Amino acid sequence: MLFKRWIPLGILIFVGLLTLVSWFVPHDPIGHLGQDFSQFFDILASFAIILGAANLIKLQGLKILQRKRNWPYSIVTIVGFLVMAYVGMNWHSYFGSQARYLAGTQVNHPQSHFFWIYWYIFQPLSATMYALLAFYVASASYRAFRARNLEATILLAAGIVVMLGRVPLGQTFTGWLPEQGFASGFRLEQVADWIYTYPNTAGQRAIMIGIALGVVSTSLRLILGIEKSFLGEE
Amino acid sequence: MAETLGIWVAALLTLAIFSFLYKDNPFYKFAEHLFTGVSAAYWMSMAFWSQVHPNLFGNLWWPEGILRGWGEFSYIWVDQVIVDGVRYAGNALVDGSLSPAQIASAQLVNRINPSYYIPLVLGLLFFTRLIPKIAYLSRWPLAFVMGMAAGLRLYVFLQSNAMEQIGSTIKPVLGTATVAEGINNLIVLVGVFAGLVYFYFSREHKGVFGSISRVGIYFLMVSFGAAFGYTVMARISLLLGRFVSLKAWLAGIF
Amino acid sequence: MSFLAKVSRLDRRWIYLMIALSVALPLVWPFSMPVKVSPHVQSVYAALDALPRGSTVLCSFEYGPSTMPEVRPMADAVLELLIQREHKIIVMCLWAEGVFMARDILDDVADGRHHLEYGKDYINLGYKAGNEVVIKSIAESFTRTYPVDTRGQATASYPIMQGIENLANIDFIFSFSAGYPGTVEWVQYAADPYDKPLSTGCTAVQVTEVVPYVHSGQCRGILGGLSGAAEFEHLLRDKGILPALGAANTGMSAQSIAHLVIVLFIVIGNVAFLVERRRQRKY
Repeated sequence: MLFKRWIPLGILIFVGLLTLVSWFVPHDPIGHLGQDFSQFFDILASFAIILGAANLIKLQGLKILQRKRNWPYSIVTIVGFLVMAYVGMNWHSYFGSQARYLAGTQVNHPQSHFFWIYWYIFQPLSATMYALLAFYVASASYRAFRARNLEATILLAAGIVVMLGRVPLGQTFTGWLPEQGFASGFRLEQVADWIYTYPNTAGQRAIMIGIALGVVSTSLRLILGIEKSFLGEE
Repeated sequence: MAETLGIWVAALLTLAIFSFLYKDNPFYKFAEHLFTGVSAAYWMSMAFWSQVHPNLFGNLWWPEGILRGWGEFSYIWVDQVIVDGVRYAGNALVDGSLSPAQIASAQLVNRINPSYYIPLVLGLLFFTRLIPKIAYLSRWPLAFVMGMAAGLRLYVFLQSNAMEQIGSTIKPVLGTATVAEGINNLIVLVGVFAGLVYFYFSREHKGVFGSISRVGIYFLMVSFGAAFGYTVMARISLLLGRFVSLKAWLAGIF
Repeated sequence: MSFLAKVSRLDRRWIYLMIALSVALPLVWPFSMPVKVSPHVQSVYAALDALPRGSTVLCSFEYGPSTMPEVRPMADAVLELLIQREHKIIVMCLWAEGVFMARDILDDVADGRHHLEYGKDYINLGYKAGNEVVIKSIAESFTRTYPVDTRGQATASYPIMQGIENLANIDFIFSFSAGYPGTVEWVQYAADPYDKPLSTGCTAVQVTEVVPYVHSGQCRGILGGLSGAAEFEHLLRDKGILPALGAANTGMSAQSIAHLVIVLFIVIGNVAFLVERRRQRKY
């Protein structure tokens, strides 16, 4: 129990309290420790990313060994990973030769193989994956968004006004209204601006304040050692 | 040559992803799995070279042989190279400004912070997660991360998301520069209050309380509607970007 | 099945085709329309315009290739303004993908167009893992967080970094954001605790989330999505800072048609639904 519960709990409480106090006490040793802990956190975040990559390879490897559904595609994942990892970790992997090779600069250099794979494989795949969402949102708009009740109607009306008010073509629908004076407030772009500046702000603020209170209470529970779900306990 | 090949590869992968719109197919699956593998390695490489190599390794003790002999790798860790009393930056190990004999005889100054063995040990403990028998040790670095996140977020959320937001909600309704400003301030005040009432689930939403809660729902619906409108704009913009790339590719062919 | 029922159950692939055409055709036959500059975009310009010449501006790139079509045009326009006002630009990235995004735009604007001197007029510090904690780290020390830049050189050795100890020495922060970590984290960890002026250009998805911070003054204006970028380009062109409109305005014709098509989809879908519902209630 010492290694499984009390030490991690102790680490969490110590680090949490010190981090909280360091917001208010910038002087040594608390201020210095707080700065050190920020650097340590960044380093641990990197290890977590590397762990995620290792975990992916482990899962894909198991999928191949156990011949699960679509297992040949896991070979594609692993090969893609290994090739990118090789050019990413090898600081001599360039098109042509460089004046000097400095470890780590290949991940920022436009002449590196790493950059080529990023720009011509990672970038189009990432962008196109997200671009697919445009089709899904259009399909959802047509097939699923129904004004079944007053709330849904308000949602759709606000959405339509914002969609039309933010583009030039939509703005021309009310372009005949004067640009100054009371009537100008009914131009689509003005209504859209007003919607997201005032009613939207009100709604979002209610959500933000609610979330903030939730975060504060959860953080307090963690720092005080009440919340132990990360240990697998209730 | 590399660029032309790259443009073709990018275009074909784009079309492979778009083919999913018609039906799931092997080309899409290939592209999707390739993306998974490449992105994992991309993130891993960036994490290592941006953080672990300079910030962690650069604060640990290394034998002189490694500092001197692995210049391409260790240059970042060396703060100063002192040759005959003259101080050079760590890059002098690899930039050709010093001869091999000078490098062999130079005094190397690198920073050593013993406290950085803590993130080294904790970071390595993360990998115990892959070994079921000792996976519980990965709770130690996780506890560090969570403790720090809790300590940071408690303050910033209270400050920026609660206090500041409440402060800018309670604004004058009367005596403002314009009537419209007063009305808008009132709308925000009423909307925030009604929205918070809606989120209070410890009391049944009926009577006056229920009516205020209903007003809160309407404000939330306006928020979600605005969010939907903007989401549509964002998605269309992304599609636009892909079509611009495909247009450039086709223009290159024809 | 009645005609309207059939219409409301149209195969989704026909919808995909219509959306694809509504975006592709205006790219082939573009048209331009006047763009109205919104108050939030005006606020961004006013905040940047108020900076004394030669100020030090921290530009943070937290977007990737998936959101490049939206954010890159605004980054281009903002950097153009900063360079013309001779501000010193320190670039950093909270997203790993942001490194190449920053590289791409700096090569184009700083090197290609203005031939700025790296290390003196601008610097690219690169990416650090850690999300919002990186902001807290640079609030304490730049050189400790970024001992070297993207070129592998000691950060402290560059002229631009002389006297730049931490966030206290930065005059303005501009965040090009596409999600988490992004504008919200800059508000929470930099603008509020250290009272730093901040502005942002972000994807349209984030606008409704960020606007409360703009309303409260924690963020000075917002460039929201492609339309925000188009408005900013218009504003800068009218002020004589940009010679011509850029990529954001080129895309607005396609954006307009696509929005109109989606609104029509919603209207047609709901008309069909309402008529069907009335018919079902009747019988």
